Amino acid sequence: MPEHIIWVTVWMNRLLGKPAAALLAALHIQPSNTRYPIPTYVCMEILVFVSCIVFFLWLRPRISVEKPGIAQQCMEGLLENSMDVGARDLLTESLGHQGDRYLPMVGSIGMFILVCNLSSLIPSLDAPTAAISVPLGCAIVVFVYYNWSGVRRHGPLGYGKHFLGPVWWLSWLMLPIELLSNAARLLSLTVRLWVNMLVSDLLYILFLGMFIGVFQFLGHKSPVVGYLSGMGPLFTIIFIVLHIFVAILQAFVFTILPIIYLSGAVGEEH
Amino acid sequence: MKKFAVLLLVLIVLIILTPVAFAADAPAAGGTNWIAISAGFSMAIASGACGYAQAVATAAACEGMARNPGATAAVRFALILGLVLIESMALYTFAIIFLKVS
Repeated sequence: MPEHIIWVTVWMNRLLGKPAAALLAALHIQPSNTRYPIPTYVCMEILVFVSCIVFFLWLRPRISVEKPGIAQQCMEGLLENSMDVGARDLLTESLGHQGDRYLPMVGSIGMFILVCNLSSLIPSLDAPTAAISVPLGCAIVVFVYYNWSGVRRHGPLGYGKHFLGPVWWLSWLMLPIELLSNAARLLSLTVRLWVNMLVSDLLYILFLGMFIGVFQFLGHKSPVVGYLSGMGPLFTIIFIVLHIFVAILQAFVFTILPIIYLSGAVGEEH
Repeated sequence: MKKFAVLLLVLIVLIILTPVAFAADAPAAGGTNWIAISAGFSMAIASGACGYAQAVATAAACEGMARNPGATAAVRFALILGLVLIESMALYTFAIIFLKVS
């Protein structure tokens, strides 16, 4: 599938194309598009990253305990909220008091994926999570992080004992199963996020086209055609809502699954 | 009666699929496009199984919420999580189709 070039790709390559091409040439990597060596998803990732940094730099001086503003309350809602689905709520539920040390990593990944997923709603932008490299990168980070946290907590031998199962006489069976299921977690995290965003994006764009039908056929002399053309925007709105829902839900699942894996890796034996 | 229907269905599927065992690798040009055919069937089976599993999950969640309305928030949380994980199983099939169908 040829790469989809958007205005972000063009502008980012104008800014950073030459250094990127030089870096790739130094590493003996051939870019797939010589005119735009930085791919669209990397440009979108950089855009998301820079926008988030700018937003938080803007928000930081406006944080106050006595009179919190709207933006502060919204951001705090991502941490702790009344439905117990904030990042810190989920961590405290699974890990107790030691949950807070994992908040930076888990919160950052969740926030990044949330903004990446939602960026596809803006009509001329592409979600970077719809290219397989981006969810793969996030999944690799999560995988390395929870295994490293487990090793740091229990030591390498102690962490290895987790894979042997509850009783010693089943360990010959449990070890390959546990190793395989841990490797499968990497695959499932990647594919779940990637395919959900790919499919959701496709449906969103496809049904956005239904909006055009209104302007084409509303003045038609046959009242049936006129009425049916008014149905187009209804389905469009339904699929826009579905896309927003899937985007937020996938970011939520990508937050809660690392928390579950962390609680399994770091948790104490009963 | 139900067991007989299942057995009949399995036999029909086997009869339809035996020519595949005798055919060599389909020639690239002019042969039947087995990838497209199997893509269609596998996606349909995956979506059907996913639909059934999500129906069971939703039914259990509704019953739980009806029996204990105070636990609605917890049940709803478990329901959404379960539905997303089941959905992703059907999407793995879509991923392999996406990768294999040129």
